[in-house]
Amino acid sequence: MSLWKCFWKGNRQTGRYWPVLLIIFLFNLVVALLLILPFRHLWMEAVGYSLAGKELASELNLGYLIDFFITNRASLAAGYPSPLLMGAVIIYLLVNTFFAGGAMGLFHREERFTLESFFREAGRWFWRFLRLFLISLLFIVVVFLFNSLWKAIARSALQESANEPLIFWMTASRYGVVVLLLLFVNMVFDYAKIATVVSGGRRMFRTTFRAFGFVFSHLGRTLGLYYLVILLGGILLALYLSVSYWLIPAAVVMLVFLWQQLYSVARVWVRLLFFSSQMALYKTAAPAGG
Amino acid sequence: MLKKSFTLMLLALLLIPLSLTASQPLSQRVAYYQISVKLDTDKKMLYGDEVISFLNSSEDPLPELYLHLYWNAFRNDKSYYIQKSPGLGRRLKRLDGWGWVDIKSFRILDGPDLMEQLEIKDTVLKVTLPEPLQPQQTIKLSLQFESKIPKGAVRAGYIRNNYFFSQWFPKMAVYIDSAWKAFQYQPHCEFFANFGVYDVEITLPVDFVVGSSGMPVDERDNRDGTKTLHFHGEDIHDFTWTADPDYGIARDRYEDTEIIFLYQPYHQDQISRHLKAVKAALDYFHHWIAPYPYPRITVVDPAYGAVSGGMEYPMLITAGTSWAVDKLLPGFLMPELVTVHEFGHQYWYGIVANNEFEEAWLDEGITSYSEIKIMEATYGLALEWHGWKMSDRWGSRNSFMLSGHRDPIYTRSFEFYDGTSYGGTVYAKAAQMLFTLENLLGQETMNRIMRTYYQQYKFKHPKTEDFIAVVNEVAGRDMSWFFDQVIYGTGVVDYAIDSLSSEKQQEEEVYLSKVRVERLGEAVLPVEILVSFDNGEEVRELWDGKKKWAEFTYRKKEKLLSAQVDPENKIWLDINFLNNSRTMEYQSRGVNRLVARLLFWWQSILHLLASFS
Repeated sequence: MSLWKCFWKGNRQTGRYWPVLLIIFLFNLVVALLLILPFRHLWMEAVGYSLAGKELASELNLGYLIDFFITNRASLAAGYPSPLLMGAVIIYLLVNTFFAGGAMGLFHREERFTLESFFREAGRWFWRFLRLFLISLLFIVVVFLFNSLWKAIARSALQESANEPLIFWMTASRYGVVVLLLLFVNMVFDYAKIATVVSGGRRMFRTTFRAFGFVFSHLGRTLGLYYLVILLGGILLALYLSVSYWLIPAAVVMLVFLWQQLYSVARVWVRLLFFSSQMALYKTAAPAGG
Repeated sequence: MLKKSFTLMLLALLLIPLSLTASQPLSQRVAYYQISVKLDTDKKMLYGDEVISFLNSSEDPLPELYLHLYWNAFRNDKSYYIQKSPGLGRRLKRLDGWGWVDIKSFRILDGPDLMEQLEIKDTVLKVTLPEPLQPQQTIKLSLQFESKIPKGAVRAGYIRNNYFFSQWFPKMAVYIDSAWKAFQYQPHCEFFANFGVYDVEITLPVDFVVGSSGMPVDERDNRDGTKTLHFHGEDIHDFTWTADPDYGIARDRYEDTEIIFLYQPYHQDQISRHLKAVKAALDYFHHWIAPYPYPRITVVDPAYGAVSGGMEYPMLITAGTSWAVDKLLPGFLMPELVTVHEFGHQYWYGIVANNEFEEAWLDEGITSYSEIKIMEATYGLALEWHGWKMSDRWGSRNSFMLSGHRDPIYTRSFEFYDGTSYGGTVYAKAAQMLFTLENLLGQETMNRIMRTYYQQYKFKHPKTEDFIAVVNEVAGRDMSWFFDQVIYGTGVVDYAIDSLSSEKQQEEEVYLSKVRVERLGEAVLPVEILVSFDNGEEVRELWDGKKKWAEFTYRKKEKLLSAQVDPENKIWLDINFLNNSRTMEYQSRGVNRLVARLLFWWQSILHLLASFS
């Protein structure tokens, strides 16, 4: 199956399983709403009954915002204690790992969506996906170690240089390479999850190495498909920003909110598209038996 | 070699153009420095001969003299400076960048050797004289010094082939108010020196481009790969110079002032930004305060990685930019802001020369106030990037609000709680205080205050009480109540509308409206209150703010809409503008607009996290 076919099949599958998209989107929205509550409370207290609030309805005055953050920094710190933030992040990651199992299970089996089937698949793959997530953290740590090493070498080599453009581009290149490596790790672990679902394997390190093997043996196609989906994400982002800046007046709060939520749905679409299109590619290209 | 060079310099002094020597002194020339110095770029050393003529301008006999040896701050990790700034110590250690100044000989010119009478404690040298120096008597000291040039130190030193020499020579401390002001050099401390005359001869490799305080007098090729440059500066209180073979030179003029911009090779496309900024500052001061009295201003663009940016010296300032800032954030006016600020110091430090050790607000605060006025008049906003806007005044206000309000403005530089308190107080709070004063007294009165302060104290060493006396004299009223709170005190200003109510009375067809205003801070300032009703009527009240709260009551046919304390934001010292007003109606759009935006940011962060799960 060609890249395009995988891409389009992925899109069709994502569309077919729109309730999965809806669940992930709503979960994201609910967690964000919970996280915004302490801020909203303080913000309402500060500007809810003030002329500053009236002015902020038509123009975002950075000065007022900074006044707010400085005068309320103790209350904000109390409203967002580090354990709460850390806990929210961990729970969010775990639940999304759970949802990823549900989505991938359905994409693989191609059975009709029901809440029962979604949660059954989610539960089936959760512990294996969690182990894969923990293994992926090791690779992410390796990427950051690589970053530190490169930084130290560049610092030593360019210590006596005044070539500002060179230094700037060296730093930008380092960041660029780190991002590419993180994306690569992300892609490999997508295939590791796919391989798990397709083959039902339980040995996650072995699955990880098989995912690396698959990616390297089909490097052009896996990278091509991955960046095709990223390109779609980029186009959607550009569309979102253009409409936000040029078409929607910032003062029309409800319209801005709806547009933001529509874009949020699009982001979940792209995330699911990674799973579905890569699964289509994997099923086509992987040796029989997974 | 040096001896010969020094003799030649003394001879050359005789040939200094009449225009330089015959001009009427602008200051009481307390110190006269004749320095001949050689830069050894291989050993990173300076070798200097110096003759200091010091006039005892006080009414006290002086049995001992004090000099500054500032570079000893970088001698090792035991110095006062490094003890207070261990981060710099680690940097100097890593770069092997320690620097110092050693006195090789010290005597009265044509008189006794005083080496045995020297007492050197870190950056301060004390010499006991054979006989006290009597009032109005001049002493001539002759000394030789050798200095190791620090690498990676602050405000001075070298990096690659770029050299920046500030506070580089043994310099007389100031004797004022019957005391020597000879403080140790520490972080947050700047400088204080006597007005005088400088004759400086610099020998260095022939390919170096040099910028300096003073004016060039002579240049000669020594035919040994070196050249000797001779500079002369009058009515200045310091002499700073920089050398780099890679400096580009751009020249311009404003009225009678020559502008020299020494720039880095990668900043060629930023020449016009810097020149525009320095010309705008010259023009503003020309009309606001007085014409710039020196014939030249040199603006130095520091080398990449150097820590000498954003500093002021007589007739020479350092700016601060980078190749990336210019390309990535063209709407961020950092180079302009730094240039304008440092130029402002030519007036408030260079000419009106307060003691920066003990009353830094007089130069940093007044300069920040001047900088904001010039930035607003010339550029409007200081930052404009993708819809985010920030003025210099608000930037300064934010710094003030983050200062912690622990130290009064009137605090010795080295006695602040920390760097944030120092910067937020002497730069930002002082500037906000001056804007508040301007709004209380009126723009025209404030302009007269600043001009009078300059005229009375140019080429002198004013103190805080001198500034306050000028304000009282020009304003025609005693403003001590204001300064006692905001300069000598730490109390904050915070006024708020506490509550509003507007109830329709049963029997009468009127609303009984009440406005409660509250003083949340300790500082007491009179404030205006603007009360608005639903037919567009506005009532202005004046409250002295002495009680903790006040209530204003109205019986009107119209319903109360809103109330605002300090409606024109005159009191820039108020630490919270958000509570300055209150409305009867809930401002849901103002609340929801930002909440919706932040909600989306949270969603975006969560989406990003999810991509790794």
